[in-house]
Amino acid sequence: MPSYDEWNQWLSSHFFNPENAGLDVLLYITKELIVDIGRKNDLQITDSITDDAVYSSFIDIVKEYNPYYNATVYPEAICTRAYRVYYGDKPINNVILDRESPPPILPYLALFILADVESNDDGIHDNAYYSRLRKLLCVGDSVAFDDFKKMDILWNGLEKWSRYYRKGNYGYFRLLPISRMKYIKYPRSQALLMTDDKDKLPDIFYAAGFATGMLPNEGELCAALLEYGKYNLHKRTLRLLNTGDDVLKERCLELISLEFEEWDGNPTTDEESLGKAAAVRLRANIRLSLETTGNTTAFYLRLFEDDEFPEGGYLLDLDSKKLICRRKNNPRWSTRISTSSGEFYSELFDWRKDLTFCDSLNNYKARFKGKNILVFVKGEKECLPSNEWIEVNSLATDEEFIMLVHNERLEEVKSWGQHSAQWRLLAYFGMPDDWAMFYGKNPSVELKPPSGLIIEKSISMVFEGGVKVGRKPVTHLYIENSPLFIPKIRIHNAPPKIRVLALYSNKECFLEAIHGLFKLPDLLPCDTAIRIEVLDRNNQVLKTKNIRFRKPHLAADWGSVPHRNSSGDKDKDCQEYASGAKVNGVTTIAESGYTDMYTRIQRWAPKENVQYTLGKKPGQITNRPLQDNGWDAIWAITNTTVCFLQNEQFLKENFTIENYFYNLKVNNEEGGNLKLWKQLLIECSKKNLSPNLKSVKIMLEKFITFAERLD
Amino acid sequence: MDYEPIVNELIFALSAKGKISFSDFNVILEVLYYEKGFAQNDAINWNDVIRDTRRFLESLGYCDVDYDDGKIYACPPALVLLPKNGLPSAILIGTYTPDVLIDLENFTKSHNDVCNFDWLEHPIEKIVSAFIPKTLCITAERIDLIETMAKDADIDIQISSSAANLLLKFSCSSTDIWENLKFTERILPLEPKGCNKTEFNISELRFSSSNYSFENFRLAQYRQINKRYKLMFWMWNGNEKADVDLNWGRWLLLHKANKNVMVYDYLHRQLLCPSSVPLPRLLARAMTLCSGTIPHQEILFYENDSFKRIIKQNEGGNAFSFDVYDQVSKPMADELRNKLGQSVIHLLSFKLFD
Repeated sequence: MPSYDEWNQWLSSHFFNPENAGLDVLLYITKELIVDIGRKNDLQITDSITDDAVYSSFIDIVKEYNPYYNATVYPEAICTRAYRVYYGDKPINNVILDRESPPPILPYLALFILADVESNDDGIHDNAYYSRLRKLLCVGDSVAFDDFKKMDILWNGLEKWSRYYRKGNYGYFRLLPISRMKYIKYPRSQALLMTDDKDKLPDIFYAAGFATGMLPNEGELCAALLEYGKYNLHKRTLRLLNTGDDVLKERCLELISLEFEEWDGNPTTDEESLGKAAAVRLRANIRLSLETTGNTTAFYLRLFEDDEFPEGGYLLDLDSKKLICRRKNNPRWSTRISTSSGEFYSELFDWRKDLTFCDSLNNYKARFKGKNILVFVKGEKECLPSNEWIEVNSLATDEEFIMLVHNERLEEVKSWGQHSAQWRLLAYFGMPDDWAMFYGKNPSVELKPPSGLIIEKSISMVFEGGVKVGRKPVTHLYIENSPLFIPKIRIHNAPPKIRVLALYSNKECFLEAIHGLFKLPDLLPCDTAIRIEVLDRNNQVLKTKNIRFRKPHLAADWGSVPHRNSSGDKDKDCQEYASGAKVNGVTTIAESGYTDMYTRIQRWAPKENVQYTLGKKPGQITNRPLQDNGWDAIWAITNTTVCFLQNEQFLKENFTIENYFYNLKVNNEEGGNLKLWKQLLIECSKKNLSPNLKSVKIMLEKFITFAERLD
Repeated sequence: MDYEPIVNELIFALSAKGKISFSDFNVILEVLYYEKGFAQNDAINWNDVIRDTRRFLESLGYCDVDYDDGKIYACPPALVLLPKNGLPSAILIGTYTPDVLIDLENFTKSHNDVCNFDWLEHPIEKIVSAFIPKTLCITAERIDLIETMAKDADIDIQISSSAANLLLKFSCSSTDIWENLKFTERILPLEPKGCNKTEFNISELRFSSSNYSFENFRLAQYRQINKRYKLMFWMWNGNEKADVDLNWGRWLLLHKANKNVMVYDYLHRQLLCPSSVPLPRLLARAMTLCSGTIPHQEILFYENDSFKRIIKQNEGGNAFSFDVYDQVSKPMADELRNKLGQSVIHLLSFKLFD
């Protein structure tokens, strides 16, 4: 098994390397990562060694590492040993940080993080960090760790090394102290998402009715985690999401977003065990849309989903009504749900009640979530008509919106809404009874919004479009002369007059905003971190994010391409298989009748008198290729009028054209049927299309020219 | 519509991703969808764009689509031979990068008298409703030039035979599939619980809700409740059933019913298969790689056990849509016929203005 120094080196190169230059580095260390790093770097860790064995060996090695004295290794003295390793043989306060690699303490720091992140549901309270550390080190409950408070020096030392000595060339180690936790603030701030919380995320995403590929915004994601994860997630995670520090919360949501991107759309557990929250199997949401024309409004329904629709769309049942919707020209929104005879107006049902629409043929259910406050934003940002507004779950602080409120919440909404810009009552024909409609802009964040309404307060930066090919940092594909693959930047909840700056390769470039989206330049460097900064009017940095671009490249590993057996099924073990358009492992398969020129010609034009083979010399011509003519047939032409045969050119295999013309002279003794040869070449010169190959074209032209000169 | 037919960006993206889920693939298509102006074209259906793009990219050998896992696997770049008459021609299959294209182009430029670099056009009605890059085709005076070219570009090559021929010969036949079906007797209830059933109708060549059996044979499709796109296909033989692949299943049933639906146009060297009865995976790849271009669609009329391209006034006949594969030689069509247990029907009449 690997030594302490090897683990240190692997962890160093994993977290701090030139690829992370300019980027923030958090030591998000989990059991899975330790096992991966071990397997990647140590060839002796074979498949027969279990993940648990690799992980235990790492813990044991760190636990027992003791390079500076030979005394018995007490587990409770682990911090003392870490401290000693950090300082080495140097006097106190003279630790060497001006070095290429980080101080050799990463395995220790990893151990402190793992104690926090790997919980295993052992009944230990979320906040009982020391109990979990004791359990990891297999020591008794009464044991106290010597010098634990000195560990801050190690964390700070690593930050100092990355920021001040290496100037971020290997990445900036970020310390995000959680207040109120004096000694464990640093390990805890690195481990924002516990492993078993991560495992529960698919169930929560599923229960919340999210659709894959449609990353919800931070507010929606956070609300879903709090609602559907309240019985599943650890309390500390919920606390962090609910009232936590903004930076940590954002980082935690960022990690959850990465999990979302990997999510395949399925829950991890059976339907029954998902609990009440997920009892209704949501396939998609049905949302209201409203259209305003003049002083009239009409309400419709659309299916909000980016999954495939069956042929012919969905035929939904609602109270014995048959409703139809299709996908047309919009990757997320269906056509308006309609009846076979025309429009279906949604005023027919109570918008406060949940409704389930079923398509029994496709076993498909979609839910309309009933609310007494419905919020709409302009549909044109989702490529819907400009006079249509679509229902959303959250509002950004800089957004224009329409709010539909039932009378029972009217006073509450009015008192909140009047603090929004341009707040006014809209009086349209077509409004259902007991509902009022308001228009507003820049929703108020000073007052608590009415329950059920999410206002995105913190500034956020989203890359829209492009093709993502890497995660840390966000890496996008860069195709020269194809700016469509460059993502655009959307800033949510920004104060007025912000500017967005891109910093790369010693350049600074303010980005142009088009329809609210900031556009990166068309020419960008690849494999370099580009730092995007949002600046306010005083040039204060409000938000930063990094992005990197990569040129088109071939996949690193083709091993996962399915091997198909002769019936087309996946079969990894078969010796003979098709992979893509190639067939592998098959020794010889005869071509269907194309083995030589003569047979090919027969296949090509089996009728006589449409093709002729020619020899090297003028006069050598026949339309019976299999006959022994006393000369070697070299190439063929056709006299057919069937257009698709005219550009077929046949040459004898491995025949070199350039040596061919030396013999091009009239030799009546050897010439066979010179008259037919001349006639065919000249007649066929218009029938035979110019071949694609220059050499063949020249050959044909030379023969024709020669034929024309013959008497 | 401002549409650039060489959608190489899609191939570059696939090559960079390697393995990609259906939803991520759709996101890439979305980028192209808006940028190429598809959103403005009312005649284009987004679902068809996704389905056709996936299907045709696979049959052209760019990728392998795993419908069970919902993933698309990019295939490595390679040059494979076309079963073309005349000079040897190879097409580029698998995903590639601009560098691969530059290498191939540079080689042909430096050997321009004996090598040619060309892009094969796909049927126009398909390229406006799907993202299919033109196929890169290399024609050379000798086959060793193609070998050298592949070596220079550091890509794989398959020259033992044409890709179409290899795939066609490698694929098993419907007889093999039938022999390997594991029929088990079902005790009541015969049908699986909680499923909606449809059966393949050999007259209309599609699934519908009524029962259609030929002798004792039926092909049933079951859509499992609560698993939206999870489909099961059972071949019934009396009270015995066997799981079967959908594409093979349809051809097996047609074979058992002695129903011939495959049409061969000898003069135009075209093979026509009903669009609602797609060829099994490897055979579809084989037929597409006869020409290196995707099949176009054509309507044929069925009457008196024969198909016609046109019908005269007052003449009847059921219209069926067919996938038309180009450049399929007679031996290949015969081989395919044998594999699928079909007798090829020859076209009786041709298009008026051909």
